[in-house]
Amino acid sequence: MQVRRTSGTAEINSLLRAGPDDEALTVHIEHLGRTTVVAIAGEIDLVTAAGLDETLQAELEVRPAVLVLDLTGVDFFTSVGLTAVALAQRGAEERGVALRVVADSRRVLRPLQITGMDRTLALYPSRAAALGDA
Amino acid sequence: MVTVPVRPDPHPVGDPPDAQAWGREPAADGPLLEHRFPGEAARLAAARRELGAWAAATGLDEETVEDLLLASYEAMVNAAEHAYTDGERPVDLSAVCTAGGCVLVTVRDEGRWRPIPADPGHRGRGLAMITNLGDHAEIERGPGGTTVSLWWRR
Repeated sequence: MQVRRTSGTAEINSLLRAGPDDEALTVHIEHLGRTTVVAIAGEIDLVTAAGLDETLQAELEVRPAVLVLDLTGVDFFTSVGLTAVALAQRGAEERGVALRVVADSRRVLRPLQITGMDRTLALYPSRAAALGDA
Repeated sequence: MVTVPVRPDPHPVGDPPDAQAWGREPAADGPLLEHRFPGEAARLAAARRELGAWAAATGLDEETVEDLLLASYEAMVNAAEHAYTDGERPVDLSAVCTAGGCVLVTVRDEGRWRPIPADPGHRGRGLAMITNLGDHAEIERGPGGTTVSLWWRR
């Protein structure tokens, strides 16, 4: 897993490319005032997800008002990824952080629907929609 | 050995008849995949890519291939992550086009399932993907190991 961090309104999309197989997951973290955007791209599987939970919990620990979890770049979303989202949801509730999840593809939405997680998550079709609601 | 039908058939009975649809008899033609690998996490991505190449050759539509790869991956995760109490044992992945007009993926391990982990939701979510992404799923647990069988209509 690769983690990149920026502050302010830096261009993010150019960073959201999956690398070669051994680092097929990219996490980009951006701090916009009291909102944190965590954008995940690539394949979230048993190997690539190592460290993802800790990264998300560390961002929650800062207690932003809103944490936007952007999954639009994810193209393989396994139960490991679902568990990371579920733990982030729990951590956000405990800390009073509003967690907003951005998903626009069948590949991400179908696992969320099958496990019923779509019913309890604040889901947004785009990052702009999630930020506009901030 | 106990066979547990884990999901009601979403299709009308007789379209085609279930007994025929959920059979294991291979079709006369169509690609066959048989892949044995050590039950460790690092091997799963390669097995998944091999299955993806196989699935593309069957002519399944893109969304069905997505579902097949995800459900099969979860079955392999169970086999590799949960199945073994000591050391690595092989996981057998096979995929075949059946005479009943389906593709059938089986994931077999020879180990015992571990107790429920600290976050029971994790296994529950994996199991939900295994049992709900396919047209039909069966899980056989026995003293010799566990076999997950997943069917999709072509």
